[in-house]
Amino acid sequence: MNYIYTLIILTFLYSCSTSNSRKDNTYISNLDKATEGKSLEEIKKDITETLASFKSVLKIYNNPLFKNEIKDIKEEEYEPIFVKDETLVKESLNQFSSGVVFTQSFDEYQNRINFRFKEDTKKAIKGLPKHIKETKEPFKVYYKEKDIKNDSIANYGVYFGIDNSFGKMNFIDSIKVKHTLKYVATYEEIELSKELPKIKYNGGEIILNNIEKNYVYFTTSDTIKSPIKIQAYNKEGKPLYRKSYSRSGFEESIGKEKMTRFVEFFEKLEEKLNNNKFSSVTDFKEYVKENISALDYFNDEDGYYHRYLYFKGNVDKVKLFFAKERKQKDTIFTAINTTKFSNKIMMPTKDSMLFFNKKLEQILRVKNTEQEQLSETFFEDANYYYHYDFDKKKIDTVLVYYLKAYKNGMVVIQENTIDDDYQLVDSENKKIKNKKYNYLNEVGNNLFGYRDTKAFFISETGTEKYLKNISKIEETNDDDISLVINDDEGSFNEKYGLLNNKGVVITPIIYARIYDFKEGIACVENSKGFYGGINKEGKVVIPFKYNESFRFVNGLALVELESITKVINKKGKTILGINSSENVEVKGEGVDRIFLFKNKKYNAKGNLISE
Amino acid sequence: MKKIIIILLLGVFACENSKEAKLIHNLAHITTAKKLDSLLFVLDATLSLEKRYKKTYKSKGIHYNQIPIRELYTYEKEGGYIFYTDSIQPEGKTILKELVEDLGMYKKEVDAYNESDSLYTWKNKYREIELDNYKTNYESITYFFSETYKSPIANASENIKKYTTEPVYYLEVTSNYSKSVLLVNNVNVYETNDSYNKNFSLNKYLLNGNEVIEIAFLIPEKGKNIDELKLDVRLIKKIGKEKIVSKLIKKELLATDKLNEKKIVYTYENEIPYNIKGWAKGEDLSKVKNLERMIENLYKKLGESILKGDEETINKMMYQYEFENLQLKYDDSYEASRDKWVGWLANTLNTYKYTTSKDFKIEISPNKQLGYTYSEDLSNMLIITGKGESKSFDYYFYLPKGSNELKIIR
Repeated sequence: MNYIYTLIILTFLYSCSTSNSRKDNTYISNLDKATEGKSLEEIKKDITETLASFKSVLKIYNNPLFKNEIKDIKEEEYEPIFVKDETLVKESLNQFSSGVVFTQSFDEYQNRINFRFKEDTKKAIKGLPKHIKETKEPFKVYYKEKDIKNDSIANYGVYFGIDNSFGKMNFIDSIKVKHTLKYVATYEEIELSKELPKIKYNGGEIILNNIEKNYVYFTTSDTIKSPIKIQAYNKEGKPLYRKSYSRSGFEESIGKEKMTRFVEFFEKLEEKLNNNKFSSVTDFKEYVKENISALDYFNDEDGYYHRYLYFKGNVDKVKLFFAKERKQKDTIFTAINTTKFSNKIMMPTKDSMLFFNKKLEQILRVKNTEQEQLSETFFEDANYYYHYDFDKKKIDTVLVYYLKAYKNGMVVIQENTIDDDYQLVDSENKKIKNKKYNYLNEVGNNLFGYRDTKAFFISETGTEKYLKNISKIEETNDDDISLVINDDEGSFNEKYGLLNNKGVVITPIIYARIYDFKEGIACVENSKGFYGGINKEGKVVIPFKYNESFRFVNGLALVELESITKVINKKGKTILGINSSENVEVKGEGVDRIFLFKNKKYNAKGNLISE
Repeated sequence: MKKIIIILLLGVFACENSKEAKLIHNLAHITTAKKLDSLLFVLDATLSLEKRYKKTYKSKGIHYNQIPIRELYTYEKEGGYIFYTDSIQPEGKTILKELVEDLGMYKKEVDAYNESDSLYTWKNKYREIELDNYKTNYESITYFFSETYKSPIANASENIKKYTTEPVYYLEVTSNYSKSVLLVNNVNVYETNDSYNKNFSLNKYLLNGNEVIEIAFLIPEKGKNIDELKLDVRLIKKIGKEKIVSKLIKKELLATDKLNEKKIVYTYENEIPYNIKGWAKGEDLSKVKNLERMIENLYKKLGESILKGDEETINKMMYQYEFENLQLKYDDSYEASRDKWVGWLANTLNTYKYTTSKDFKIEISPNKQLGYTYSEDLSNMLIITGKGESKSFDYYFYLPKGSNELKIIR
């Protein structure tokens, strides 16, 4: 429970560095968790350990590496111009439009849901600045048996790429999620410079006390809320990066001072505990609650907040962006379950591993095991591999050197040593005849075996297919489609094609280059240097006539035809620039993309927005 | 009861240093894992022994012969401990001086990264001590307890003989023949169907210093002059770091019973000081009935003893092999023989099956006493397997006179 004390300190440090609220007392509520069911003696131990770790953090502040100094910066580093929230909000709300999927598993009789983007399972959620509050709240869960649940589900997490707890064990079909963003719609900008060092604002004042080389020191009345963003600029007006040594980026003075005071506070606590100054745990808690608020850094005696900032460049002026108007926007998306449940669904509990069939009836229970599942019927722990015979309710130890299960369900073994060939075995732990390979290569979801320099595609049933004229196999951004390469004419003249998850070459191995799929279409360069597009069935959907590579965004792609740029849709139809010798220009990115053509503006979807 | 033990133990430590009441725990006396256990119990009676390891102690009572210790850190169970001191001692006392007084002279090792730093080490079979004083008024001492084993292999070093001159012989060979066989004292050393340039360590084929060593090559020649051979042979005698090119004193070209084969023979005076049993009293293997079954049994027995963790059988089967291999390198360090045994113990721990070759080719050396096999169905004669672990074994063997069981010797 020691980490709770850490949490108390961190929430304290964090809250004070980002807001000026004196009522932000999350750390106090954590105190109850930290002391729950503990004796004073146990609390004493926790405090001692926490103190030791925070003392070592304090040492970091004293490390010369992290010391700030006022100096002339010769090589400046620039950060992007501050982007207003509206743009970020639009992109964030739009990111789910290409579809969301999830996989479901079970743990301790609870559902575990792992959300992912449909098109790119590795894609992460777009990051947002701290002041934009983002919530993803499920409001309807559709179960396989047509049940719908919409109450007491709001606290289920919708975090991408990790397992979220999602109520009692039951097959879920889909989940409707409300995605909400609370953001700053309009800002008030205050500029400070040597020429303009003092400004009255919101009933208080902002004073620039010092601006020198890479250093800025200013104070704000404690009635003024913190600015959302502080951006410093050099003489040319370029925004400079702030020097910070932690991800939260709070100033050294604040961090060090607070940490020192915390350590002092904890030392005092430790001393009192050592001298038995507390009669009970409640007494201890009362003392902490009363005294921790006294540590609040912002209870400054002079009525001002002081900020000492260092930048990676020489500062000419500083701009403070204050929130003027706050707004909220939301969108709804439905996530679909893509889990292929087998008839042996595993669920760990505290003391056992349970297995269920597709009707969620328990078919096997294995007690006190630390095994991990490798495939439907193969398991391992630190010392052994195991095979489960569910019909006979029997577990066999598999005494082989190496065993590996692949995504397509195939299992291979190396019988005795690392030098042995890889032998395919079926789910019943029987060797599949004549299926030995010198090595195996899993590319995305597809499995390939190599025997005597020949490559084979291995299906999910273990049948093999000889891949003629293929010397190399690589990944695409679709796990079911592999890039197949023929380098018979040398590595400078490689030919590319595509192979699907049935082992079928869907795009012939004749192309000079195949790019990643974007919105279902991959740009392809043919042997004559022209670019076209193919879909995920491998069919050519955009003819080979363009002079440069392209990619689809919001259903449209900017292409170059005989040195003239045009915009086409996914059917290959020219949307902008038909029969014209004038170029289409593009500005911005994503949903904010704007096409400029013949003095007219078109939005990201190609619709005319203004003259 | 627990309290009484604590009081007793406290008493023991307190008595040792009754003159200086503050310094009660003398680390100079903590020389075994058991003593460390007792000290930790005294320092921290409330914790279980398991938890006491990997912990730092800052008790003011810890000292090394009256030199106060700032911090004591313990490793995982029975591993050892580290302690530090960092204050100027009266009369220039240092732990380095104390250790020299207690244990004698150290071995000094220069830090590979920072040449101005050096480590002082004291090592023996039971413990290893390292002292580092790279900062002024600072000494860091790492004290490891070494695991000791009673098995004969682990203690083979005690029987290794040392000599004033300890030569190790090497043969440097360049053969431009399409095929050739190298024999040392009529033992097959190397057979190939290609030209080659290789070095061979000869000591493992030499049993004592009384022999005139014969190095022979079987080469595909008809009636060539001895000076026109496509063969370059150099004998190197290495004593310590010194390399001496030794003379091959005799060279002759002999006919063999094969028409297209000649035997070229070199000899030299052997100065090996040791005298080991080897295969000297071995039966003529060409006359042994059921040799194939004996070989199968040999590897099966070794595999079985590893699988069952039968330490006694492993020692019986492998002691002479391990001992002679150390003797011919003159390696009497306790670490070397301990490592050999630790290797066998690791084999027994990690193995859950063994596989022996059923189809193999037997090769008997021209001396008829030493045999070797080439597996045709496996990569080696014996393979032991565990999860993600495997080891393979192929040995030279001989049959001691009067015995019906083969013995592994190289």
